[in-house]
Amino acid sequence: MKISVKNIFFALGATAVMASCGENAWNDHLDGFEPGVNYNNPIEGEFTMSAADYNAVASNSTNKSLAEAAGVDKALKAVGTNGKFSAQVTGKEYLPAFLASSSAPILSLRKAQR
Amino acid sequence: MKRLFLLSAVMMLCTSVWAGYICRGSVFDAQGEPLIGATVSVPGTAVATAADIDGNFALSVPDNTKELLISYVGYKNKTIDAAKEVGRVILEPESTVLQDVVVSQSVAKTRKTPVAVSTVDAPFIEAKLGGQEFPEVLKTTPGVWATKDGGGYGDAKINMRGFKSANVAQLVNGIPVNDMEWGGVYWSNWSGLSDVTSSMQTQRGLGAAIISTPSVGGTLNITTKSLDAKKGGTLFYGMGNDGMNHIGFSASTGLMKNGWAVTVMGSRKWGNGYIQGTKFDAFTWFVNVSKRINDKHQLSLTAFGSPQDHWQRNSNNGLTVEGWQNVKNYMNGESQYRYNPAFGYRSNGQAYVSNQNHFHKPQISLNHIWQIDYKSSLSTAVYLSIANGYGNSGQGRTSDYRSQWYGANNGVLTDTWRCADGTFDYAGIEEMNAASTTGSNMVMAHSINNHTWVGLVSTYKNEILPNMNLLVGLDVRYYAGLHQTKINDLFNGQYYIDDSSRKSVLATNNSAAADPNWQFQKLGVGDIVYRDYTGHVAQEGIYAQLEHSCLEDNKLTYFVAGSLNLNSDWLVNRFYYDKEHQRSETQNFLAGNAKAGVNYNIDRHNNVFLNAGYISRAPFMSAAFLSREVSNAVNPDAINEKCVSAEIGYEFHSPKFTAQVNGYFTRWMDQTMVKTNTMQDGTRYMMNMSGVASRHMGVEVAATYKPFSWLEFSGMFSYGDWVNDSNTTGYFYNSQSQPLANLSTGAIASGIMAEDHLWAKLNTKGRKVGGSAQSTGSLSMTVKPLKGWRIGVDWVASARNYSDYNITGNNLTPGQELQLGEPWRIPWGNQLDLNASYTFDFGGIRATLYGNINNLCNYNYIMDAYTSATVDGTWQNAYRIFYSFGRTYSLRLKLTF
Repeated sequence: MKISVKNIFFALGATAVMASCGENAWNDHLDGFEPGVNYNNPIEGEFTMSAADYNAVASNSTNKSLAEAAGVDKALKAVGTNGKFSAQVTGKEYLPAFLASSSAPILSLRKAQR
Repeated sequence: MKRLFLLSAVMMLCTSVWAGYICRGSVFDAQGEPLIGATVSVPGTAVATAADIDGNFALSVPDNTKELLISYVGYKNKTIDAAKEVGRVILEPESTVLQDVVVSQSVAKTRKTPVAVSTVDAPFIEAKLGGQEFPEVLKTTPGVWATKDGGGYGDAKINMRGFKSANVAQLVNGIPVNDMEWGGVYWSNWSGLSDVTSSMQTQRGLGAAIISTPSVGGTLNITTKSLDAKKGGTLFYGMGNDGMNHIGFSASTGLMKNGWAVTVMGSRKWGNGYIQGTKFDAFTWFVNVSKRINDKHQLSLTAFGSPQDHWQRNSNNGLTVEGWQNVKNYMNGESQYRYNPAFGYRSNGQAYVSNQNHFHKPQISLNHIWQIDYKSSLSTAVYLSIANGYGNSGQGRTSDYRSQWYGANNGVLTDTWRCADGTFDYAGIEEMNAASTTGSNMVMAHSINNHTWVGLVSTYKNEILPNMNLLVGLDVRYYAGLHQTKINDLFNGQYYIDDSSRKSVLATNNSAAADPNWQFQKLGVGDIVYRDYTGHVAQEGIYAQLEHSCLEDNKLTYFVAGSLNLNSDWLVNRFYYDKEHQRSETQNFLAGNAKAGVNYNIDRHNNVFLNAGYISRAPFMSAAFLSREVSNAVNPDAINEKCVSAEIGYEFHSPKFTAQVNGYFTRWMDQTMVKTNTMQDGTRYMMNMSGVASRHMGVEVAATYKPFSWLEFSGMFSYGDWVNDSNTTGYFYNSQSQPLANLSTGAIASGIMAEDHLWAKLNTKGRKVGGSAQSTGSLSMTVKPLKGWRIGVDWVASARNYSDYNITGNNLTPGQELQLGEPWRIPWGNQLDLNASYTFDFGGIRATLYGNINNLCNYNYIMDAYTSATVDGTWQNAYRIFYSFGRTYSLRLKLTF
């Protein structure tokens, strides 16, 4: 009995000593994950715009302000109707506000947080 | 020679008298508390011993001993077969307490009720819980997946067999507590129950409850201490990581000679929280006053509540894998996984988090038991729940301003109000509002969710034939939930204009909107924005069950049960409608269930069981109405959800070894899915996706081996195969429930599901159900090396954990099909937990010191993640990720008198 108790305490102690892991140890499971890398660099990705997305771009209030300032508010409205960007209203200029908004298609947060 | 002969004779006599063996076992009461000093004796002899501080005994008995007598003051004597290992002996209280059928009808009995069940008792909870959330104590139960979600106090989630909380029934003393509007359970309102729980039973699958409950995935059945409580009391104080303190007491008179019994309990738990900016302060109170009026009548009044305040890390504030690495430099050497993107400071220097929660949902029930005669009884519980509270809800003049309250968006840390040290710049918002000439752009509001819920459950039980019981009952409930969003902080602005919500109010619904200035009204603290409505749910139900035990020694027990209920939902919306129009139509749904099961005890060790059932459940209010916060529009396509389930199981029970194996199949059909979005003109449209289905099947194994009274091994493994199983079509409606033909113009279609009615398809067939680990396992060892000592180790592992996903209105485009992406299979994770206790005599008082270390290895692994519904999930595109907590600890001293 005494031996078994000693063994149990020894095993528990050894487990505790050996048990400490680095906080990123599990991330080794992720193929391509590199600890210490600055992931702040932009990531390239593909994204297909749906008709609803074009509507959301056209109705985005930041875009509306941008278009109003540039005098292309009708062209912005046309993006929603036509389902495509134009020379006056380019994706480069008008996509960021949409992607940053809760209308972006990946997730709508407004309903969850309101 | 003569002396030698005499000596030999005496030795032989001694040997013959003392030749025997040692009987070992332990004595407990029904709550699992050891009965210290219980007498264990051999009837008709002077051979006796007393149970030690752990309830254990070892008695040397002669070879010919057939029985042992166990006795303890206040408890009925019990005679058991003598053996080297007699295992756990449970003594029943001497006073005969009438059985409350409302409470007991939902509790499964081993080797009798044919359901897959695991039960944890009060000592188990005390030993294992430590600083964890209450549901986490079930993580060694097969089929259960419990996580801390965002990590705030009480923010834990628990899924069973892949079903989320809205599909897992939770009962407290036989009374349902799942929210009547959407079915879910917020554990922060019930966390304090851990201190007064007598037992918590996990019934997977259809469960034993016969009242109407959402037990699609299973049932969590909590029984609190009441009339069965022992005379005495406890005092405890605990402390743990991050300033956690826990102090409390309990006292019980036991059942007194005059028939009264009173139990009271109170506790307070507070701390800073493991996650940054998640401080909490929670109280729990519990009162039970019972009166055994006579042999036929018994009354029991139980009231409990857990008022709490806690700051949160919202579930939307989980980052991407890469995002978590990027916030390491904000944590001053602490783990990056403790970072809270919404934590920051106000301009007065006070710490602040936009996500806060304050609730109190007390429940009061009065149970009456009437033992009509020796074979029939009537048990009735009348209950009342009055909830008051709110969560914070950031408001903004535009959707962009509203988004700016978020700490993270799609897993990406928001940077509009991000300080260089990573904190959220609430002072900056105050500065912006102060400088604004049009009032606050961003304000904080309380999202108030109060409710009043009254109900009655009454069961008549009659033993119509020997061992054949008939139960019939009534289950009536009425619930009114008040939902308002009320400004509580202008954040340094002069006023707030809620034009973003008010512009959606139609003058035809609310005459106030006819005045164009109404939407620009200047609002202040206490004014209502965005929503103000009451959801009403009424349910009238009946149920019945026939249970029969037959054959020799009641080897065979079978039951058939069914229930029928009428559900009525209606809304009173005071924001988007004036008094004349504020009441919606009433949506009525007839629902019910039927189930049957059989248990056969092959011999004293082995039994098999089988159950099957069909549930037709009324859609929740969130599905009965297309967008209940902003519209009274009913969902014309809303139909009952259905579930068909079957299960088979085998159990082995012996004093040293018990094992359970069971397999199940559940198909959940017609899950209602309602999505909303905004049309080009700013008005809202809704879509109803009918016929969504999933299939959940799997195998669960659990075993316990106790080779010696001081050593116990246990383990479990569950393997689930949970997949979505439908390709469905949904239709678009406007905010008046009219079928839409065009989203740009808002043109109305010629009819519901007519050719010109806009539709979208959702193909999910074969895709894994997300949000749960489909394989879980655990190995545990408990050793009692010395008198009073107990040391336990739990190793818990999870695998095949699939990311969750949100299908939003944006994902569904008219005339197009959406192929659901395969969720990300999160690599497996595991953790090791240690628990220990030492019980000792402290001046005549029993004292127990508990210690717990959770995640001893400090191994951070992902437990919760989301991926987009439109693409296959990978670790690179997963977001809303939460890692497990690292190493945490707690210490607690409990005095029992």
